[in-house]
Amino acid sequence: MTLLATIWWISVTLVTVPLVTLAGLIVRRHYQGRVERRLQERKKALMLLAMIYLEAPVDDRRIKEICGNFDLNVLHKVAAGLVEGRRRKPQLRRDLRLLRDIVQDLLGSVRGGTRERLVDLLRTTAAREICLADLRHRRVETRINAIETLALVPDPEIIEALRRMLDDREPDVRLAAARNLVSLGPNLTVDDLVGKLDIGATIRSRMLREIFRIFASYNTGELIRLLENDPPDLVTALSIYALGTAQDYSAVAVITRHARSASIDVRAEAMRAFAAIGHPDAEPAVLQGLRDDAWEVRTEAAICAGRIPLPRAVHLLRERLDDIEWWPRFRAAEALRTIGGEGRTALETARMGVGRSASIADMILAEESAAA
Amino acid sequence: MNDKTSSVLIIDDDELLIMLLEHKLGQRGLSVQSASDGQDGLLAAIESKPDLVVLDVMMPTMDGFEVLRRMKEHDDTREIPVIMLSAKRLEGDVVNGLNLGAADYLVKPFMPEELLLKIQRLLRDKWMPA
Amino acid sequence: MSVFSSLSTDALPSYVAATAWWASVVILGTGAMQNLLAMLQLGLAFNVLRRWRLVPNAVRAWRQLSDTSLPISLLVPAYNEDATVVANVRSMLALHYPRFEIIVINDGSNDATLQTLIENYDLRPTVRVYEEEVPHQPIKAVYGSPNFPNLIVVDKENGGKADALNAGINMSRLPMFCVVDADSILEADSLLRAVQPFSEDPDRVIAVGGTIRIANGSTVHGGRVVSVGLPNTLLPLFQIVEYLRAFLIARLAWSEFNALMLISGAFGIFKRNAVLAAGGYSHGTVGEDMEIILKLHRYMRERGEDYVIRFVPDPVCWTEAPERLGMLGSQRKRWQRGALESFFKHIRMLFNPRFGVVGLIGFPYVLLFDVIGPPIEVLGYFLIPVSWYFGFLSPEFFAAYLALTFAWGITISVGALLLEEMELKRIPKARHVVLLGFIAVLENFGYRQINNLWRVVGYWQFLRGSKEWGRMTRAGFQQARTRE
Repeated sequence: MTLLATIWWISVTLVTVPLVTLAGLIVRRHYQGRVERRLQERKKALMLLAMIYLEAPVDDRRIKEICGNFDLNVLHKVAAGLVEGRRRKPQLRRDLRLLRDIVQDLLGSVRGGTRERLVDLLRTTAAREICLADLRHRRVETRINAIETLALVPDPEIIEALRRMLDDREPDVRLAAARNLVSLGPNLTVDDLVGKLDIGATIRSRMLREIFRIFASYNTGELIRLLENDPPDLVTALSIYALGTAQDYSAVAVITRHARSASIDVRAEAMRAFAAIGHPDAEPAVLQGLRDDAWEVRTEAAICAGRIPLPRAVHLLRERLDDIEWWPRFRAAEALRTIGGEGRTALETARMGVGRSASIADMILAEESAAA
Repeated sequence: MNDKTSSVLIIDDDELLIMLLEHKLGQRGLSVQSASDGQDGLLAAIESKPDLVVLDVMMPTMDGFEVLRRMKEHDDTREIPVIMLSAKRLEGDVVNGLNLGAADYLVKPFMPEELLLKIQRLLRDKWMPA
Repeated sequence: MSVFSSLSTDALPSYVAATAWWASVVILGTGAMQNLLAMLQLGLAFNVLRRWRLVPNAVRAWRQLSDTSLPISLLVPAYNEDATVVANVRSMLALHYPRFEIIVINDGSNDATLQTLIENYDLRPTVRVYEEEVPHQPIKAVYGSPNFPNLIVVDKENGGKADALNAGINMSRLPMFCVVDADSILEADSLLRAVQPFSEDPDRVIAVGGTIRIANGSTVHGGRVVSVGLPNTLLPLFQIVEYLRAFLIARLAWSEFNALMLISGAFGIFKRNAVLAAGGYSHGTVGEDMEIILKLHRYMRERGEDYVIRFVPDPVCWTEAPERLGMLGSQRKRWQRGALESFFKHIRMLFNPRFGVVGLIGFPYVLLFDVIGPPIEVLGYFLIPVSWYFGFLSPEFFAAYLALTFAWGITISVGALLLEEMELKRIPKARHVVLLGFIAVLENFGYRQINNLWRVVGYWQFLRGSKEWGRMTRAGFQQARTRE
């Protein structure tokens, strides 16, 4: 009978525990619903406050004008609390977080003078201290949010605090810190990026491309030096990509060297970078790319030949019209069309022939006349 | 300028941004109306025939490009100048907006002051045709 | 075991008694195993959700996620959808995403699907260079519009959903494609959210699925869910709880192990190259959405590639659930056929260590829940009472067994709701949670059983009519699917 009794007890527990928990959650939800409504009210007050702040100086008449029937007392209390800032009451902290969220959302859409005023608003309130404390919060999104906010009001202490976040154990936090630090100017070295972000092992995110791109916008030299020392493939690909976006002509030589890398990704990235830089010095590497073993590289090389453009690639592009893979074939045809002149003649001739090259040449020309 | 208060319709799903623009335009003595999605915005434009429309692109129910296209098809709204205001900043998007007949295309993040000046200029042009 | 009384067994031949005894053990054992696994998944899912990072609103989603998001082609197969296709394409055009194109594939509809599209979007015939990398029925024409540069409509001969998708894949030129049912209602930032796994791990992620929710009872306006509500009839309500259970527990848990066996046909994002390499969608399948995932697993595992198939708990897509018993029944029978078909087609992965977690966890799971589970459970509906009646099973144990089965079912149903309420909080009103709580209990008494009956019928159809699938193509597309 003990087995039966156990089964019964297990059954009862199995039903009771989740149902009681659910009941608890529903009660909590009911209570929170009211808190939530008050929060919305509060948020509206803070939004108005932010609006008013945008129009200095602030006076009561102006507030009345804007806020209409809104409870002015609430607004005054909020404003007083925010400016004093010293009173670390939970309510104030909540208001500051709300205000921070509002300002952050607005900052996503505006720039210029309005933006300056909004940033001022963050600076003059106690939001800075709250965010610095939030950097050690247990929730990842809170830490990231704090990083994003602090980056809006940078000062040496904040930069230092953000640098410390590069050692956070959560990869997303490290990425956020790195992106903001890089955006704020030359705060990081290439070694910081490569070392702290643990590129390729724990972090492979496309955010890395953003970070490297921004980095390259003011410091191509360091990336070129990095490439000279043959870093791991992912780092090489990222650096080449970044140098491409920076359109630094002096990088063509070192990228050319990596265009012979063993990694397909690196070779393809090199072709993309040549296309972005658009310098004819890349010609030998691109011509070689058109005969690469990997179709990905041939594809990128074809795009590149069309984009620079390289009239001397016409012969090889014509060859590519017969490529066994679709993408190089298609991109080669496109490139011939863009190059024009000899390229166009090559397409017209190919069209008269038979097989793969005739078919792709025919389609690309037909597509063009349909678009016209 | 005309005696009549000029009216501006803002079609955008960003509540905060609408509030900011309402506030700023209100200060300049313009009457402001807003809609938070494409279909409502189009209806509002047809019904109240504002003097100018500020139009977002990425919105629920109908995107800004289609709102614009339909405004240009509709006799009552064809003449209303439209300023696009969008986070879509790719060349193709800007070109598409201007091709469809937008008077201007501002990319977010934008400068509110710039928008205000453009609105004022367009409204002036409307009252005093060149 | 004392639970099986031996009172009246003398009256029957001993082999009957032995068979009955073993049958009971198998039935009870299967049930217990299913329940244990579901509990394990519940725990796993809870763990995943606790770490999950929600992006609060659309404005932020755009700011935080748009820079790193790769271009996507939306593939929208349409078969006789002239009533809704225009509104749905409009809402898809309004998606928040930096670069995407919409490819609508008219799969030989006999209604005015193509005509309404042409009229509403000012479409003109155009030429688009493409290669038939995966096979499909001939394409009759391709349409484009100067006013909607990112909309392409492909008109082709009827060939079924898999066939239409293959045509779409060939037509697309972007690195990723998203499969969407023409009647799916997408959230404006669904692409932006669902594409995140690709941004985080661009080299390894090859497919991502998202949560499908039921739109019945919610207000839909212009191809968009304006306010979330609950239906006032029982059948869709049951399905709401069922979807929560399927998506929040099973998918999320297995996705952690990279053993996800299904991405719902209503919404899934794929890396184009990976799907092409695996050979695209298979023709003549009822459950092409499950089959493609198994195919991808198989292709990648056979080549020893490092890859990931992920599931994101963010809500991405809404679908209308069948309101009538008959329609729901035929949907479930079809799903069952689809599951069996995919299972047997790729059965060599079952228990095969070469296929890693897919062979050792994913496949056995399908075996337990889709292949042997339903018939055994239905057998139990008859055999357990019978063996109790004949006295093979002591009445006390029979009662306790029933209690445990129902209790376990309730735990799992309510557990899914708990997860939703604790971590995602997407149910707008407290009284909705109360109602769904009742439904979660109630679904174990009747709904679950009738579902299993349908599955057994589906089983029967599968065993009988495996040759009839070729003619299935005109049946139209299935709706969002969900399985336990």
